[in-house]
Amino acid sequence: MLLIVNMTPASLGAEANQDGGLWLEVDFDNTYNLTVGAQTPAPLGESGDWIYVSDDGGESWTLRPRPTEQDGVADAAAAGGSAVRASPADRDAAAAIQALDRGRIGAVRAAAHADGTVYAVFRRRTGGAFPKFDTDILVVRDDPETGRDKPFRQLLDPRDNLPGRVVAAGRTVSLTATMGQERLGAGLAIAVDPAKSGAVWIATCDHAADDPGGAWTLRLFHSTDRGQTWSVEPRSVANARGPALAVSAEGTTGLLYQHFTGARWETRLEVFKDAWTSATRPLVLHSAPAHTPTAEFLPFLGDPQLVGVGAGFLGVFGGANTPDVANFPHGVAYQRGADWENHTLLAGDGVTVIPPSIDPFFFRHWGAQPARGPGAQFRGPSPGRGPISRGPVSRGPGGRGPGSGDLPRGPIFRGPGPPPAPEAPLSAPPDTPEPRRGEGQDLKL
Amino acid sequence: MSDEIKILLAKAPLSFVGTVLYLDAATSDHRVEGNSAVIGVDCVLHGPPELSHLAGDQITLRLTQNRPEIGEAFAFFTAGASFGRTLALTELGRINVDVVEPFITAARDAGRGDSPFAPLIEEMSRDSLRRHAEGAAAVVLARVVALEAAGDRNAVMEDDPDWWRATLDVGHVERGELKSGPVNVLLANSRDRAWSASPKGRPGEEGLWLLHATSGERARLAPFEITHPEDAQPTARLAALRR
Repeated sequence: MLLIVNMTPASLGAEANQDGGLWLEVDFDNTYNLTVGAQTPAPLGESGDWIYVSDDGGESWTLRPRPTEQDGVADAAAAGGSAVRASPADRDAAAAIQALDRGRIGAVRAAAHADGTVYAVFRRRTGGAFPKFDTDILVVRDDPETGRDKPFRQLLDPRDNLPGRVVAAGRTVSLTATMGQERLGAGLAIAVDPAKSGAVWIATCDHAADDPGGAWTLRLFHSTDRGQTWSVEPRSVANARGPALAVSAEGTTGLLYQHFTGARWETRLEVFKDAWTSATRPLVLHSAPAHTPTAEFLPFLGDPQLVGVGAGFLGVFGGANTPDVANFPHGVAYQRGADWENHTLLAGDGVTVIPPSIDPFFFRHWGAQPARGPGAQFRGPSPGRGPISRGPVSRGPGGRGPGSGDLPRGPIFRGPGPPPAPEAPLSAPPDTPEPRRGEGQDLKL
Repeated sequence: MSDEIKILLAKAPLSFVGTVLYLDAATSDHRVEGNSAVIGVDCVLHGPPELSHLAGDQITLRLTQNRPEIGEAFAFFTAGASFGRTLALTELGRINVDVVEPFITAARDAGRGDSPFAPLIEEMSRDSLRRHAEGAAAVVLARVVALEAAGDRNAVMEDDPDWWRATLDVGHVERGELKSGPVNVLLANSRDRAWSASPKGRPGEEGLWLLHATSGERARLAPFEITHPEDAQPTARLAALRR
């Protein structure tokens, strides 16, 4: 099954912010509990970060302030915040990569395995000047048994014996150049197979240094020997950006990216069981005109995020929110008010038309059914479901109060439905995987 | 009383007149807490445009003041707590409705469609600008006559500020040790979210500029910088600074 949800809550139906730039955090003890950060500003202009929170596996979302240590929340994951960015282990990793002094360009991406192995990928500058650089793509590894005084020294470049195995050389990036209003940046993604810590995937977006007029191209690399050697996979996508990678508990690899058709941005998901050796037809989760709305700042959409959960994947992406059935080939559920016949967004009064903007979207794919894993603590009834809640009856999305009577209720559009499900079980697997904190996330220094 | 309201406005991003409908209750998608109540919003007094349609809605309010009676109406000053199908707010202050009635009446009589507190908010905005100007090295009326890239070509991240050097032709010095004529200032040309609100300066643009002294490496590029959104103001804003 494929579930796609526009996460903007109904009570913020009049907002028109550029809400891309997402990250997704999964509580692997109870995968009903999800947290998403975005560029969404505090709705009333307060200071501090706000996050989207779901306790029903992503079917509904609320926006609330991110708890802080001052609120008595001790660990970053429980804070619903940037556990990946804030955890001591990841801070150490980011600092360690900085200390390698390898001429890094752009962000670092890391992936951690439950056995303690951590991989990180980054670009090393070989030429050029801001904002356009020639780079090599390097991967480093930290093994659990090695001392922490010299982390990420396990993969060396045989040419100079310094940390960082070259995955690809002679790749050009332009940090500020844009395509379809979006910054190209230095796109990188990495994921490790939760069943085999030696199996690693990397996705890159750039073009060859010796082909300056070449298309901005997504490419895939694979290693089965803990990063010592890398193969170029027979899958590339021209005019694609923002790669995200994840591997499910069953060894299925997911690739999420955004493809510029020349006029539209398409958010695509590809799922492979056989190391990309067979032809694939990408699932288009969302497609919308690339120049509506006008970008207010960069990033415009932000990088999508993908996490393997059970037999499937959870993900988030930013996209234009015009309510048009044609934009969602696999359907979507909107929380905010929308008039699907006239393709307009509606404020909470059900009448006032709101201009299109960039919204955060969540999706759940195939076997990624939420589950409470062994030892998980059930955290009690969700707000509003218990008998103690009183007051107004819940009003479905699509408008409130006078004037909303003509609007559809409930999930407004489910579309033609997902393609036939594979034979993989749709129910939760008996065991939930260990958290893979750090997989495919930014480690900005 | 205006001072009391201004204190509340300074800390509360949303205020409204509301009637207490239920105590120890919450709207359906929010958690009931011991001090929460369901409030019917009668009219919005101030807040972001996104919530200007709140009148007529019922919201959850986490009370922090004395326990009110069902049916009582107050002017509530609030901050956001949670946005779901319905809205949950945290109370930051509360005053009697008769205190805010004159503001509502004055706005109505003047045919204003904006916040009843708009005059107070404008006063606070002027105060804020004055405080910001006090921290500036110079305040000038000037026109942008030249722009050139000045930044670090070794920057390695997408969110680098991308410094540009603007030459301002200063026509009037309101404050600071500066003479009329050309002066160089740094502008963050980046479109990254971190810098998008910083003044960019367009060729020929005239205005009131609040110049701040550069330090460290940036001092080698220009003596002043303009990075805060309030650093660039319309020329007419000079009058607000002088009051």
